[in-house]
Amino acid sequence: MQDAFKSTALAAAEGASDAPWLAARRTQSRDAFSALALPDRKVEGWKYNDLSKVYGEAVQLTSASDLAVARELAADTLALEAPTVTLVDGQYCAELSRLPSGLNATSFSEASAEQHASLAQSLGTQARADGQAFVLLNEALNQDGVLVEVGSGESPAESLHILNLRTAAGTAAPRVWVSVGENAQLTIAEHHLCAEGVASFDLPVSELHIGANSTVHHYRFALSQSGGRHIGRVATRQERDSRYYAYLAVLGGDFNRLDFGLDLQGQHCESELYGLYMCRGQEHTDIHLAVDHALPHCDSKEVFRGMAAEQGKAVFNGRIHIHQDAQKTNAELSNRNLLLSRTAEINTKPELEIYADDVKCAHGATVGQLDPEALFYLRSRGTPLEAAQSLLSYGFINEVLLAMPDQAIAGLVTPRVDAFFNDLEKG
Amino acid sequence: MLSIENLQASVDEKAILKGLNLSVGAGEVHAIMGPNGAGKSTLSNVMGGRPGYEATGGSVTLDGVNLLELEPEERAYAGLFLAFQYPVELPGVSNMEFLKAAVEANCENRGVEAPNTPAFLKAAREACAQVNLNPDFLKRGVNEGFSGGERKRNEILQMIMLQPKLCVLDETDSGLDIDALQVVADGVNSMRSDDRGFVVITHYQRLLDYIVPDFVHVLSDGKIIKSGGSELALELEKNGYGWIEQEVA
Ligand SMILES: Nc1ncnc2c1ncn2[C@@H]1O[C@H](COP(=O)(O)OP(=O)(O)OP(=O)(O)O)[C@@H](O)[C@H]1O
Ligand SMILES: [Mg+2]
Repeated sequence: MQDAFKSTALAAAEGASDAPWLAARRTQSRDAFSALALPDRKVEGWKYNDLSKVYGEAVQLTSASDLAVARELAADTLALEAPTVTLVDGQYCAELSRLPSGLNATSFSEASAEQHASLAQSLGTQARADGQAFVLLNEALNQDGVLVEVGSGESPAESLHILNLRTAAGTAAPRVWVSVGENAQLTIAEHHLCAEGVASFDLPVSELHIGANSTVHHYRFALSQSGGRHIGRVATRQERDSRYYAYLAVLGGDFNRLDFGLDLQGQHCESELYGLYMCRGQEHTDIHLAVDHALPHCDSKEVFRGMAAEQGKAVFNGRIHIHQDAQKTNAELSNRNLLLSRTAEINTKPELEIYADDVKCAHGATVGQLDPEALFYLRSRGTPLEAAQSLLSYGFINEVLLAMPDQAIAGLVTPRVDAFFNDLEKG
Repeated sequence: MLSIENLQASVDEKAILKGLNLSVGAGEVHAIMGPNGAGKSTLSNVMGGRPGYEATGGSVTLDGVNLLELEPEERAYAGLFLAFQYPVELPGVSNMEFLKAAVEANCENRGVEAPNTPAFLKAAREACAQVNLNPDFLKRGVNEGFSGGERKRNEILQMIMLQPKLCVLDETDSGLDIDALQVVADGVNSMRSDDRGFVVITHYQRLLDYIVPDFVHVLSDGKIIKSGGSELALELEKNGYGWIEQEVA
């Protein structure tokens, strides 16, 4: 199955972007991908993933997009009237983009020769650690992407939205590169949205580089109405004194895998990652987090809440690596999970690797059911059992939604959370 | 209005309530006192239908309705309210949302019209003022990070909003400073009426200075072993429970 997958992938790569500035990289990545053994259950980091859902289907770049469906998917985000760069099934879509004025953002295809030259240098420098097969595949298949540059001292007032819309079956491999200079600020929201019943295969990769003393708020939502497979990678690198806040949500989709890497390469960095994931039906979601503390005096905090109902399966793996030089590190990881049925499954594993001796590290991971005492409390006040269950489940997720400072952006996830509970009640 | 007859209940297969009788008429306030572990909280938990607290015999009826056959929420619709000794936290569930869901469910099931949103908000803010909680508490998670005293005041706030027929207060006075005690007592007194009954479980006579009971009962080893007027509380405060337990033995 892997072999068939690989050969269709290599064939599909022939149809990827023919931009000359990318050619060398693409060939390199395609060859590396071709030589690499694809992960399967025997590989520790993939042991809970049923990759037959991925390898079972041929790789084929999406050709026929549906603009009407894209318009509908984009509506709520465009209604925020903020700068937006939109890709539809991996290709830049000018019609659904609102290019920012005070902010330097562009699709790869529309970028200048100078930008291409710098992209050719920087793409992959953060995301490609460990030669991850799916990052290489993204590079082999990439057709277009979004480049965001915030110069030193700049702090655009508006948040920037990147829409990655899936309207038709097939593979897309969009790419995002965000570079933020020194003493700058940025709020960026990535939306990976898949329309109802679209058998998409999405391989998005985002890299963020945050310069000294800058602040970035990064929202990343992967929301599918039903169907779709998504293997995503985010790699963020922070320089000294920078602050990075990420808010992740994964809902819907047959198969979701997100590898989120945070590399703290300067002293006095502050990072907070919040995330929620919810699976039902036959859905599968796996979030792999890797936080690397390379230098002293950095604080990182991760708060993740997961939920699985029906036959849903979720996996959370939170790895915090505190290198030898990273004295005076403060690292905190909390992952709580709620099982809403007996057939649902959640596996969680915090992995702490600590090589420095003067650090504060706290982690907690739990999988449980709704607290019967809390349920009784609600019922004793007259709230019927089912309503009490959904109030508590919602409350559980709400902790993450409330952590998002821009409630208008959070509001793009809430309807999906509501729908999750409503659909459960309907059975 | 409330009639408890020969109530027996076990927790973890251990008999805790051993034939308890109590009758509360409309408009009355009954205080229940008794040593630790006597079964006071168990009584309120059995009345409320808390999981793990099943009655094994006897009956509890409220205006003719057998509470023991009902689900916990149905007991609320029948008019029962329990103020808990240890109210739990509901993280992420806002107090406002929680109160609204409860008020609406009670109205619907009692066949009265639920207040519209502005009326509800007004009532909620007034209830806050009455128990001296900043209205900001309405936005916070239910009991989330509340101090002990704030939780107890939040219980009284819910009682005011839900307008029950019979209120059972389990040690609502424990752990309160004197001002909070006054607030709780005022809350209860403001709700005293001819068609509402109260059962106030307490260890301290001082609460009964503020909420003057019509009857005082001593619960010991799963039974009411002595009943009297408000003067009984003073006697208990002075002499403890030993003399009654001996008198009964
Ligand atoms: N959930 C439980 N599991 C095990 N034993 C219990 C449980 N609840 C109550 N009990 C036992 O039942 C007995 C009565 O407890 P209860 O809480 O009703 O006493 P109380 O009169 O309210 O005491 P206090 O004055 O300390 O509040 C005690 O022996 C207690 O240990
Ligand atoms: Mg008690």
